[in-house]
Amino acid sequence: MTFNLRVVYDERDNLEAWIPEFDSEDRYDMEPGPYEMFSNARLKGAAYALDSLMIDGFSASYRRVMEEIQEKESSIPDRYNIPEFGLYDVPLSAVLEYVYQTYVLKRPSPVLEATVVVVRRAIPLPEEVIRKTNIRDNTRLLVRVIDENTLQLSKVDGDDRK
Amino acid sequence: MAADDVFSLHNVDYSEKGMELEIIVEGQIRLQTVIFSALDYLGEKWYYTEEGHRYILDARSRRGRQRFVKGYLDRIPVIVRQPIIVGRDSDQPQNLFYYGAVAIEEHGFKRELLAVVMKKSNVNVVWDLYWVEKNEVPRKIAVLYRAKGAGRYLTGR
Repeated sequence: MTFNLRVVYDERDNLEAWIPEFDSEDRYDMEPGPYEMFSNARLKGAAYALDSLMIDGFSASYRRVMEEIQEKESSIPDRYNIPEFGLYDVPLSAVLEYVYQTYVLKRPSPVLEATVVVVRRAIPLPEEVIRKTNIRDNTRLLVRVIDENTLQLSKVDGDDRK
Repeated sequence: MAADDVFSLHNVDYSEKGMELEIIVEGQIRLQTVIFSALDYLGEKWYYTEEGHRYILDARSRRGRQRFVKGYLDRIPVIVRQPIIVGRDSDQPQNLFYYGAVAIEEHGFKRELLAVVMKKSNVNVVWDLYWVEKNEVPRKIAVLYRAKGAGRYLTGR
């Protein structure tokens, strides 16, 4: 059977997926789904494998989670549509692989990170950049070295001190 | 309980409220603004922050079945101080999972397993709170501590 699935991968590296038609506050009598490596559940007595799953630290857990899914998937007939991803009639492993390839691997992976404080803004920045970034003396910046030709600068979260 | 009640709990310390913390997560510094601090089951200090509070409210609003969790934020200090199970996932050594069985009014006062995710770094900060829907600790979590009665949440081990 094929189900529509909602999938959210958030900024804290948590993956949550669920079948909206079964997601009701009034239906909470749950039983474990078939997978043991992560949280997954279905309504008690349901004829399908799972209607929700949560994976903490998805990027780090991905390989172990996929091993289990691929091992068990051949005996689980459920398939999923995720229109937002352009995925239709795919098994769970294809959903997780898509999220991993699209969102996890495309995060810039720094080879070095350091926090610096702008002491004097020596490089004249265009007014538009100053207005949008509000970078000034004493602004703390995270420097991420992506590769030998690429530096990524970002203000430390919430830092807007004078 | 309303979500705002985390600002007026009796069993936590608000003396550092508003203080900014820097927590290092995966090599990045993240600023956190303290709401309160408390101690865990081993007497170690941890913080509940505005950023974590907003994240939990947002994340648990996604799904109808998890929405009730927002009404149980006052249980976080209780779960962390008297957990039924504490565990760690070897894939994410920075996260410690404190599990507690809480009677949920919306579920006819059935005891459900809630997980508090604590980010352990230069400081300890609550990172998430959710209902473990299958009421069973996932097998990838290695158990560091278990209280009496924890066995029913550790089936299949």
